[in-house]
Amino acid sequence: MSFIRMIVVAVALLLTSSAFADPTQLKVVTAKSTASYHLVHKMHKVDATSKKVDGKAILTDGKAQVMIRIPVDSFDSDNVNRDAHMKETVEAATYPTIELKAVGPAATPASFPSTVKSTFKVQLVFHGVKQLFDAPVEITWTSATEVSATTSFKISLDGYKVERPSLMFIKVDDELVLDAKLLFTP
Amino acid sequence: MTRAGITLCLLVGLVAPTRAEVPDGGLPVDMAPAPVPTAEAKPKDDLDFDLFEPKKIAPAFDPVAAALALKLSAEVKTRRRVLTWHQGLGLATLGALALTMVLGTLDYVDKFGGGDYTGKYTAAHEGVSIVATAGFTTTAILGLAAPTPYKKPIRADSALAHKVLMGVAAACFVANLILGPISASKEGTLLQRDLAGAHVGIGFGSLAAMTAGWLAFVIK
Repeated sequence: MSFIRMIVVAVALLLTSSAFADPTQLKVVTAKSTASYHLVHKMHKVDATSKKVDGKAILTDGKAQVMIRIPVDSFDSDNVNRDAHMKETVEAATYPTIELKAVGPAATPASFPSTVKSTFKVQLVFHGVKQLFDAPVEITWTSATEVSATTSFKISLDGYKVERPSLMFIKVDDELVLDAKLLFTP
Repeated sequence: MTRAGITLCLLVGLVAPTRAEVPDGGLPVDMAPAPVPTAEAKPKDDLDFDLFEPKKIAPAFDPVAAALALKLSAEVKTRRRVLTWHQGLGLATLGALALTMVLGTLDYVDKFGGGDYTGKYTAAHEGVSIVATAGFTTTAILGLAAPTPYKKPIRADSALAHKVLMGVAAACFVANLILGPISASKEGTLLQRDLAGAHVGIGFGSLAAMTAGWLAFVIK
């Protein structure tokens, strides 16, 4: 029995160490976070930005789980007609949000500030279609609990069953670049 | 459970009275067998999590929501169809207006710019101008009458520039619709030359405004 007691003491001491720290829960600071999409048409480029990004993250055991939601009708391209056309093509009333989940390495660095580049596994739900892919993410640790993340990746509008909008009978390119700059705090 | 709580439980376990020792070589009587993995057990998906509040479960069928969705979808389809015609007819009208200007300028030069006053361009200019006016009117009606399923606030953007410039072009069309016949009625007078000159100038104004309105929407 004394051996069992020794084991219990060792486990108790181990639990007090930082190796088994509680998960850190963070949320997106909407006012300081943005998500943008970029489309190319033969005659012009479309850049639209949303400032209504909502999200949460959990950091545990050197790993991050992130979930982001963006209202589709919050993207602003400085052209009301173009934004309305976008809402029509992505059926904003039926699929009102873009939802992104991601998991990847996010070990707290030894010193701050610190920037780390890594690859996250991403699931994107857009226009009712779910797809998985890897995306590069740059994480900047301002402190142990203030983290900013930047990512950029390309998706196919045809892949998400979006009928590509056209102007002057010419459709936009299939490729859409989505990028996000997010700030997470407790 | 926090690590502090787990630690406390373990320490309490240390000082709590223990059960009777299990004799060497024997198994505890109440030792339960380990659960056998079943065929249905699957490894947990890395992305199988939800960090937001659970979504409210929508009713199986909401007739009001379904009717609204159907109406929205119909309006979207109608808008796309109408605006496709608007774009096509608009481009054709721009071409017709350019041709009107060419014929009108030739007609002016023929009569007042050192030409032979043959009048050979007059009928063609009138005919094409009527086509251009009808095209412009129809295009405008299509643009204004297209349904707007997703509301659009008024903002200083290229869409507003398009509407303002087409409004200027429309005013030029109306002015020329009046000036053209008046100028024609003054055949043989000096006034006709001045009226015709104004008619040509306003015609170029309509072409410039319509071209700028088209480019504002296409390029920006």
